[in-house]
Amino acid sequence: MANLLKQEGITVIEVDAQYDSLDVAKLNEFGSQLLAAVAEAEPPTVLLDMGKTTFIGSSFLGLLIRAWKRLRDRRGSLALCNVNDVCGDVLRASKLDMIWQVFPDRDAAVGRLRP
Amino acid sequence: MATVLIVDDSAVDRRLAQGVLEKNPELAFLYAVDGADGLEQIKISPPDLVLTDLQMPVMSGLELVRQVREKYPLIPVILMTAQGSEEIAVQALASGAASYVPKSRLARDLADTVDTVLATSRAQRHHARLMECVTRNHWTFVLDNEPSLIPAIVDHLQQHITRLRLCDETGRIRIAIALEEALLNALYHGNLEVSSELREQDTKRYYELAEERRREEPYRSRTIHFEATLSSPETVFVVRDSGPGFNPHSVPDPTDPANLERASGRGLMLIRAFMDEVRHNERGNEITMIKRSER
Repeated sequence: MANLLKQEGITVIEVDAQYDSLDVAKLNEFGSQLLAAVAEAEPPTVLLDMGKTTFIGSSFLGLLIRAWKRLRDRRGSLALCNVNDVCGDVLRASKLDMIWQVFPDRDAAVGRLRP
Repeated sequence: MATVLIVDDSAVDRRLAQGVLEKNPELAFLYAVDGADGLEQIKISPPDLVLTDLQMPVMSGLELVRQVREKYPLIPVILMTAQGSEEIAVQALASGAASYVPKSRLARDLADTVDTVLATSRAQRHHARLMECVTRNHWTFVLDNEPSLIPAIVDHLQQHITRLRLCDETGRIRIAIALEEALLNALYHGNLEVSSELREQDTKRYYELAEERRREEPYRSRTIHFEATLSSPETVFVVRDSGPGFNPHSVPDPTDPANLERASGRGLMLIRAFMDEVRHNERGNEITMIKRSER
């Protein structure tokens, strides 16, 4: 579900599979990967690259909120990039674009977020 | 009259294949010297069938099969294989070729193979044309509490929304999100009565409890009644669970700054954001969602 890498000191998580439906097992697997990455990220800044993600729903948002809260507890932040129109609509409808930075692409995100 | 495009870099072999088939007065012929030439010919004048050699310069028969499958899925391709290339022929069948005939058996098998493939393909084309005439689809489902059915239903309906050309891709995905949220709410909150609050506190326990309840009464017997009507003016989904219902007005607004940090409670908000009209029955166990066509 996710590839983890480091780019200029930023922990980047590529959501690699098409997140196109709720499969409880896959969601839980992704959630575990995400929270583990968040716990280990140093510095505590995580960028989610959504370039291969077709659509997201409320369960995915719930996972992101949990991850974001843990980063916030560590004085860190969560950001997203390569968000398509529909995913952008979901973030805007839920007003979560007001608490997470959303960048057009990874380079723009890393440029702004790097320590 | 059906048109056969014969693709072979050997003029002799092209003539041989035609010679076998021209006994059928219902066939007309076009020619190409390799796969790339074949694709050009198809673009100019789509044939009813492509008959191709396997080993050719510029573009092989195998690559031609793949390209025709992708760009012209209703045009069948038959391969003519030289001795020893049966393995590649199997690959070609896996890539979408309709059949293959060894060149050593052209005289014996080619005519019948072409007749069979043309008959099948004619039926498929007629079916595809018929499907273009469909203006309305209606389904009624009675689902048990198996979560894996939900992505299957959402996928099924997305395919039909695409086929009926009710909206663009973005519109289709928005509808899919709303539908998925409604079905998940019906299953988890409606039938199995596992709450958002529990999910907020302990996600693992939330899914464990759901799984336990799927196997116990009264939850096990509960079903989701789902009706979907797809048509040009509007798409209507009605989802009804067998649970006690709830008060949709009691759901906290997840976009309120006081609630933004909650990990749950956004399903209904997304449904309202992506559908044009949303109604609940009095009991709160049935939701009707309407999306009006963009056409």
